[in-house]
Amino acid sequence: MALPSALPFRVARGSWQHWAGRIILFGGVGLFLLRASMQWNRSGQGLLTDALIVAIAVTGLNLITGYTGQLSLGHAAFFAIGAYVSAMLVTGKVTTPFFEENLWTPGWTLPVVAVCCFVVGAVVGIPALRLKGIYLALVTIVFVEAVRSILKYQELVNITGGSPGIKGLAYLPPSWTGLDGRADLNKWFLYLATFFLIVASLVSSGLLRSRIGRAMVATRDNETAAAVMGVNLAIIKTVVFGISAAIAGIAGSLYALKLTLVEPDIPKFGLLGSITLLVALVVGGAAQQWGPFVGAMFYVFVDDYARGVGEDPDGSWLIGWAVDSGTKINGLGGVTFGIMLILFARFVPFGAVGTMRMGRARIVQVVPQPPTSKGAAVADGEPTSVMSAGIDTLDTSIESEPTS
Amino acid sequence: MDFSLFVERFINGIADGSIYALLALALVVIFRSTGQLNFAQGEIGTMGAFFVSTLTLAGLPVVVAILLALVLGFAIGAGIERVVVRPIEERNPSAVIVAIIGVFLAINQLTALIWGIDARSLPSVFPNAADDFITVFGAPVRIARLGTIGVLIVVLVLLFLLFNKTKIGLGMRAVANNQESSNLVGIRVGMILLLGWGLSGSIAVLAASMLAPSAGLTGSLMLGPFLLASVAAVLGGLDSPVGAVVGGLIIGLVQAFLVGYAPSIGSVTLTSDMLYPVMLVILLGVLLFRPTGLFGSEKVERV
Amino acid sequence: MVRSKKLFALAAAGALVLAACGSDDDASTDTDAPTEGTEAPAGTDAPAGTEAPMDTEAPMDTEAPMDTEAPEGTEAPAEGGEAFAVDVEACEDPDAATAVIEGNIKIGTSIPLSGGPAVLFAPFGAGAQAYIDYYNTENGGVNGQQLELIIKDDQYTADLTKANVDELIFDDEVSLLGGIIGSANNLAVQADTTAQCVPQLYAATGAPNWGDVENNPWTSGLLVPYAIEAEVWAQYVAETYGEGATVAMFTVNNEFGAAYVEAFTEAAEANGLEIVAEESIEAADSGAPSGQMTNIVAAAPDAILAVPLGAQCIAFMTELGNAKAANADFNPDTYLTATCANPIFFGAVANGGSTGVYTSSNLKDVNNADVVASDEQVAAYIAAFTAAAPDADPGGIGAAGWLAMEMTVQAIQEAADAGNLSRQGIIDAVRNVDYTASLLRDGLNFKMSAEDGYIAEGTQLTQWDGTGFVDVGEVVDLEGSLGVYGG
Repeated sequence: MALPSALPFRVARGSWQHWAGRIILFGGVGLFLLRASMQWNRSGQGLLTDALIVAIAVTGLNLITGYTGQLSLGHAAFFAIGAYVSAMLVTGKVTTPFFEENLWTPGWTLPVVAVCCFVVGAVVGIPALRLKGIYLALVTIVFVEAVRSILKYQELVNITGGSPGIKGLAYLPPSWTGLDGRADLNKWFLYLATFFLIVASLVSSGLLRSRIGRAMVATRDNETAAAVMGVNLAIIKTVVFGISAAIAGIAGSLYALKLTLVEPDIPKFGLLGSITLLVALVVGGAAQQWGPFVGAMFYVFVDDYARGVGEDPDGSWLIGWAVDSGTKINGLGGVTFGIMLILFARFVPFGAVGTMRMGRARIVQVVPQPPTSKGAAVADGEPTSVMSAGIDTLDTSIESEPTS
Repeated sequence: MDFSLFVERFINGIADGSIYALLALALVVIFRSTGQLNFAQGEIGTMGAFFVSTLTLAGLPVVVAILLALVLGFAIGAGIERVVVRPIEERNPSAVIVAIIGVFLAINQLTALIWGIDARSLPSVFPNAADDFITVFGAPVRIARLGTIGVLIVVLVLLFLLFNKTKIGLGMRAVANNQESSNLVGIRVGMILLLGWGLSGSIAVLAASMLAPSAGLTGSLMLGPFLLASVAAVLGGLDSPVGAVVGGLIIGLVQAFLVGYAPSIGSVTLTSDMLYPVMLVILLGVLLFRPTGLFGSEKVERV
Repeated sequence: MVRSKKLFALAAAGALVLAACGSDDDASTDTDAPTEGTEAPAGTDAPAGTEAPMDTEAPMDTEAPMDTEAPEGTEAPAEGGEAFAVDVEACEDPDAATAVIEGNIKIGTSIPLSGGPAVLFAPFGAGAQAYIDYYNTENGGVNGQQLELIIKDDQYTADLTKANVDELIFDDEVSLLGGIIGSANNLAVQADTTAQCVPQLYAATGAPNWGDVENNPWTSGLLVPYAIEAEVWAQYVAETYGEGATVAMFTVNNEFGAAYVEAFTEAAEANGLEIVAEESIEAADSGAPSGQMTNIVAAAPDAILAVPLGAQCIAFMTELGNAKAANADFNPDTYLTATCANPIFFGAVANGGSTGVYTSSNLKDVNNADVVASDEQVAAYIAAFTAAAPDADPGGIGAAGWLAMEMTVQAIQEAADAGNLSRQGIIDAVRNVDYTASLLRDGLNFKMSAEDGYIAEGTQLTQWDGTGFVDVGEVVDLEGSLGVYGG
């Protein structure tokens, strides 16, 4: 490859420079996680695990909302269903032939979770064939609340536990891991969450490189055009919704097993949960492979910081200069986080990854390799120019038709 | 079936529905012009209701207090548009939703920060003592509830006049239709958007001021009603004021009749606990046939 | 299985009632309640099952639990039959559990300080902090060791509670936890604190697990279990209207409401009451419950048990007032749970609907000026709390925060006095507590033992007279009646 004469550098996809960049990126993140698992104490590992669990769910949401353009505020329901399926199987609430007294080993519930959530997700995807933007979003919100009502429903109390939910779940590290029982519990969940985030990311990127991936992006960019070009919208939307839901369900299952309980009123199982996922997606960068990871990290750690400001106002550099020692301010943590979100949206409008890519694109651009590449560039979500990095996937307006 | 019980439930349902309808109207006013769903709508209302409470405690008559709070609601709504939404929308419309969620969190908690967390009672504009009711077909109907319904009608009429009989309203409709062309023909789009957001802020405050006297005033006053109002707006059609009202009333009635009659389908008894599953069915039933709601206008998409 | 299924009656403590100070003398009479309590109108009918546990613990009063045990060595579980001694062998790190706490004594808690409706609980933190500051100032800490309280914000979200507790234990290195709010929140960390042998004291929840002395010795509850409240109200209705009296229930549709339904259904059965209507409301529904009230009117009950949350307390009583005005023959005795027993809620009902409504509290009425004037301990609370949170109502959730820390510090002080200021010594002090908290009503006492896993088993029925709460009958003390969870 010829040396570029001026900025931006152009790096061919698949060239050694491109691979070097990737290795540095993946290696850096890998080292960070490795270091966290070795050196961080349990509280740091716990918080990191919480962020990774959110990242898994956002990876699912990214498929349907980021790449396919279907705005879903329903993923908290898949999260809840995943959590409940695991909880019900682990505690023997449902009769199955596979385990003694129906008491499942937690790990074996995950495939069941994936299947259940795929089915429910595909069904939820059906309305998406007709509904767009905010209309779809609102229907999915009602779906979340409806699932909650059903989980509470008295007649189902033997299966779901009703309003009090199901308590006393435990998932201790199996002996083959070499981990030390309860003492390494947070490390165990950190490994689990890392593993499933990698799996979810591989599923996601594999999907995007396939024909389905190109159909998804085409659907997002212009449904009518995609249909004209032969994309089967019904299949794309329901299947991707299903896969997306299955990934969110896995995250919910890990969440419940780590928390040791499920309850219908857990905030993450309701609208707040959906909002958490959507905010993490947009903050990280919709339709960006690294968006879910970065967005979830941002959400969990910035929220943790914002609550810290509220816990100890005079001890924070943010507002400590303005308040007296010992002052308690109700709700300060929430106000701080809210303002941080506004500022983030204002100054990093394309999300962290999207904005970074745009910045990087001024210096280094990845371009398709001229001869053999099959144009996977777009499906990969790699913007080939500054303009396409800003692909807007959350256009909530129904009047987005290009004036012809 | 006891007819007077039916009347009582019907009117209570309409009255509750009026609150949802008012909030849904506020959502529609914004959606028409910007295509955004203002998640912070309910919180503007709650903050306005606390402001009313402060003013009435200071001795102002409640009507005056509400009028002043409408001004505050207008200012907050317009402020959000100018300071938060517009600068972000210019760069990436999809980031606006995050900013609005941020505004929602900030206002919700700011209310606690300013007014504390203790519950308050808010006086009603209408006679609201225990015996302020009239009897209709043997059913006691509270004057304050009729008043709420009356307020909804007045707001609806005023909005109709504004949209259809004034130059501002013409501008609003033009902007709702096509911002770029409106700009070209000399409409001050920025001012119109500002007015829309301000107006919806005022309507939200009005809704909260109607709800708080019977519900008790706390920081979470509008969280539940906002969600139902969003559903109402979608049910009726996000760009249709009439649809918002119809949607709100439908939800109020469904709620009232579920509580009142707890119908059974097979072995499943539908009580108020099942409001959302029932709403989901109704919503899907309507939207699958009319994807933009009962009264929403469908836009043609071309390649 | 114990019937008290409860949960975070957070405001159970918000409930206050009045009276002068309790004294330890009253405490000794409590254990005799089944016999001596015959004059107490509501106390007489304590269900038969309640007596057994009480008898067995009678000897407790005669011994100061901590005195009998040497700091180390006596851990053999429950050798004496009644004094509880924790076994540290099962701990992840037994040495940490028995290590003497030196320097400042760090107490951690996780409560909502922000986050939607959850911010309502924030004054709990102010009350808790006020007590710690008060104790440090008045007593110079625990035998010279200063107390330090670290409050974390969990927005009432259980996963954040878990993260906070990890931070408290591993970053801030607190010696113990106290006063965490919420049922799910406390349960989410219970397995961890039990394994790590970190005392998780006085959870602001009434879930039955807090009485599980056997499996979860390191955790304890604080609030009056709902079974007790339900029993008190059922007894009152049965006495007033006789067998077969009819009751309507109005409950919030969440874990909190479900727990009350379960507790009251049992109490109603035991007292021969008939439940004629069960209405519910969603927790997020802030509308007036007019439809539910219409149904209750139609059922024409003698009495109502209402379990609303937050502002729904106001909305329910307002609707009650409207319904009474519109229906001349509708005038049921109505009980609102202790979570509503807050003058702010009752006073905010503008149409008189709150007048005559019953509730209960095991705490003194700190909003009553006479009580404040005549009771030094209440006056101390008011002074400390209003300094810490000038805008909050001292009769609200703040009193529960004060109470949680008073009991936590009491355990620390007792462990220190017994020469075993360690996690082990503290939990032993908690499990054998016999103490009259400063805000506790006259005639009540906080007491636990190896056979009694619940600390608060007595309360006072009160009635709102339009301006304040007045006592109805005597304090009802069912101390010991719930035994232990699963026992």
